[in-house]
Amino acid sequence: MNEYSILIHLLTQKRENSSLKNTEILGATQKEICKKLKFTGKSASIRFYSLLEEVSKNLRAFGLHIQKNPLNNHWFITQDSEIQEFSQANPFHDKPKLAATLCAVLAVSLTQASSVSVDQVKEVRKKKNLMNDLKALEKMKFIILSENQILIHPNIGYFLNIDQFIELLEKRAKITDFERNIDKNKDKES
Amino acid sequence: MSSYEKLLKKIQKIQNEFSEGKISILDEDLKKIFLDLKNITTPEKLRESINLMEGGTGLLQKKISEFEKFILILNKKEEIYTLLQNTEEDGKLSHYITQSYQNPFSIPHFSMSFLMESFQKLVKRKKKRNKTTSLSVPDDFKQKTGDILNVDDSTFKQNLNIFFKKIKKDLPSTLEEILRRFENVDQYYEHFTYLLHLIQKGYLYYDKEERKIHARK
Repeated sequence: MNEYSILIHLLTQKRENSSLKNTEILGATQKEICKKLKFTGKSASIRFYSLLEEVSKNLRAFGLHIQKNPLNNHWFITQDSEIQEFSQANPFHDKPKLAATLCAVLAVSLTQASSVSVDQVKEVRKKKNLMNDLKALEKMKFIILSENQILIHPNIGYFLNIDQFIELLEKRAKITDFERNIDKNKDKES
Repeated sequence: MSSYEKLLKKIQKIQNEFSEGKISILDEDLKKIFLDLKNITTPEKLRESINLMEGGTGLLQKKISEFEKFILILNKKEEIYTLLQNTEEDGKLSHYITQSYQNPFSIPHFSMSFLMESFQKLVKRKKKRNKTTSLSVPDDFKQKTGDILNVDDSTFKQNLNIFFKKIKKDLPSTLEEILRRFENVDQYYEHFTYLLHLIQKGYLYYDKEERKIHARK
């Protein structure tokens, strides 16, 4: 086995999560990869990133990308959107309400240091049967419900490109803010 | 344990827990590490202190980068809240999720260990088949085969029922979701066969559009 095949094996391996029941961990941390590949010393990190870059270049042809789950620091492989459409259905495809609730939970939790309460999400969502959505999201292992608190499940880092999500949300928020300012100025002028 | 060793261990522990995703570096009090380092630094221990300093600054660098990301989002807090409150259409909010949704790629059933195990089983079976072909067929073959099949059939049906009861509560699920738990080669193929039988018998059906297996009501 060479470095490439060991890395691919580590990035695509699934193990049971010892700290979270009925959850699997996909991929491996930088430390685990370096240990298996015997990258030690000061150059370990440099060797790790250059190998990742090299493998990543080759995987791109297959529509695959190497990504890091920011919620548990595990590196894993993800697929191009075109391949996803071909191979597996998006669970939110015909459930816009559920996706909108997840969007609200994530947006609120990313903008504050402490955990999110159900009431906070209710305040921004203003929708009925929010609890059903939250329970469904918990079943999908995207959130953890603990009394009135909502915790983000590390599993979501595999299914959602968090950086892209924040970027999309920020862009939209900026545009909305800009539009609102224009409207305010128009009102003043009139 | 000397103060130097204690501090070194503490830095390594934070580094390890952070890289494993067990802690957020934002929650760690790094100021105390640098104060301890200042207190134990002596001209004799300068070399060791430089090593510790390296570890400490590495952590600090990580903390600053995480902090920058956090501040960036925090700056937009008000705008994001207003956006959420003013967007009543589910479709508009769900767009952010569907646009960022991705499917992780895992191939547990193509791992080296799984393939090697499958290969060895296949070789064994082939060898066995070659050996048995040379044996003569016993006279009472039909009778014996009949008995064996009866026993196997009832065990098979029992296993089929147990499997059906087990997966029913999780349906609809994808084929991958159902078979994910069976990482052993034999179990994987055995349960895949059960699924085919359950579909053939009409207990389950496969929805092509959803790519999911459903229980028939």
